[in-house]
Amino acid sequence: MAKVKKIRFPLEMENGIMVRTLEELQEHFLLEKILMYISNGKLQVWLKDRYLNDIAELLLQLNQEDDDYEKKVCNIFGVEYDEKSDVDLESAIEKQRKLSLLKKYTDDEKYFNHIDQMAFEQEKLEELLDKGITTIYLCGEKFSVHTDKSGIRYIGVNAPIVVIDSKEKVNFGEKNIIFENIKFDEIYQEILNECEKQEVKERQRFGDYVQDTYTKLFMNKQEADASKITYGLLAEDLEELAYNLSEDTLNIMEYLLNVGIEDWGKDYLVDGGDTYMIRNYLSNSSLGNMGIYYLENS
Amino acid sequence: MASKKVVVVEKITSNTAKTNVSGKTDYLNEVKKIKMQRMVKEICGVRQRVGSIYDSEISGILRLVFDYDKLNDYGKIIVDSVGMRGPTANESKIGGVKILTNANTTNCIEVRKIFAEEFVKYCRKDCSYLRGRMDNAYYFIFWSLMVLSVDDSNKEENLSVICDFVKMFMITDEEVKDIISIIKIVYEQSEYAELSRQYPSGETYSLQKKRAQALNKCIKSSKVMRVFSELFELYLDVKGEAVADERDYGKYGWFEET
Repeated sequence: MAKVKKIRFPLEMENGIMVRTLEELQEHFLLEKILMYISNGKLQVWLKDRYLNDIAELLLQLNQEDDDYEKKVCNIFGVEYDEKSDVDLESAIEKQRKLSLLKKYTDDEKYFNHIDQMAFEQEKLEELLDKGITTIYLCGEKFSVHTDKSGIRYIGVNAPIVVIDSKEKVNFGEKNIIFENIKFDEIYQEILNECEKQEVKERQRFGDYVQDTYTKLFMNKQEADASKITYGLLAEDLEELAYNLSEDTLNIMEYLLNVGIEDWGKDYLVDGGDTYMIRNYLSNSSLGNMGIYYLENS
Repeated sequence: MASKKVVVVEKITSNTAKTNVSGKTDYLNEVKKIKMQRMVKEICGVRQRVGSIYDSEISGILRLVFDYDKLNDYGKIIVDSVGMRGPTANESKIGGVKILTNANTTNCIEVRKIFAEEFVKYCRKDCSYLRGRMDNAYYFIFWSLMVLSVDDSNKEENLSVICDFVKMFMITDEEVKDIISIIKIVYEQSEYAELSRQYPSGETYSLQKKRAQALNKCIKSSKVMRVFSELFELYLDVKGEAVADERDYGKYGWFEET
């Protein structure tokens, strides 16, 4: 029977550095991570895999309740203890719990560095807001967001539902509240959809179909219903259709001025004389279909 | 070019102000009206009115859609200029030559109803021996939409009535959208008009082909293409090339990409 080679997993230290040997661990030692690996038992396995049972044994003999527990851990690994670091074992464990939870929702590493700004439940969201955090990551099913807290950016990790307790559309832009990758709850989304419809309607050139026209007197219901549908289609198509007669006429005016007909116009304006010359010029000249363009080109 | 235009606008504006003070006609508006009259006259002129010599001539037919008194000067020019053939004396309750320009007549709903009903029936009675009557319906919608494009008064009501006529004439939504495309071509707002400028007339066969393909892209209905073929000749200068008789060539298939 072939001997199965044991796979020795590395430990991840700061900045994603993987340590495989005791020397590497000492070089990239990070107390926060080590405490976390002790709490989840990974460090014991890592040490035994490398036949460092004596170190594993020493760690087991330590009492986590001791005031100088962290210092003793550093001593075992021959690393200097920095009192200023003040690593809290509970927070390290909490961080680990959050990371495991986060990994259930996403493998995207960009979120891993924001674990301290991440809310997995409503309570945590309130806590982060109380702390004055302005960018909050939401990872979970549903969160209720207070519209009175301004200047907050909410980023959804798994596109969670955000419940907005409001009967009308909230101007989040004015409150400097930004939402990314979230879904609003059904009730608020319905309010948004209605507002959107209203806004589109206000922007449209044509309002609603008029039901009481005289033509309905001799139309059957089927035709009337179909007419309403056609109205919707045409109103959209006719949105931009408007003949800019002024602009078009300006081309003629420009031409008239260029060829000296301006004076005739002036005479007409000043004296109230008849427009015969201009009218005659525009009506009877064979300048092409719209008058001036073709002459200009020729 | 643009700065030159601004100068012109200023000149006209100052002239206009001057004339308004002295109570004389607005020069620019006068030119605009002449321009509109000319355009309408040209479009009406390209096409022989469809119908037999026994059919009645209906002036002011667009009053079936629009309240004449509420229209602006440009809308009125179109309504005044456009007439169509309608039912013969035998077919009509009113009979004879029909004029819809009398305010007492057009403001009476009952009279409008009779006119409209008879006109719809007339157009829909398009058969082998009365061929082309339905073309009137397409032109009726075309002109109605033209008025709508220069006049915004009562636009919802007017468009609703136009849509009602579309349905009564049994014109499809695709066809009426094509009619809008034709108006865009007339106003040079369409993709086709843009291509026409790129490929001017007198070109080689391949360029003509490109223009024809663009036209086919804009106008999907062969029926609309046929009804308005004279208009294309006027505005697009594609005589006999892009616009062909579908009875001989099918739906312009010989120009389509394979």
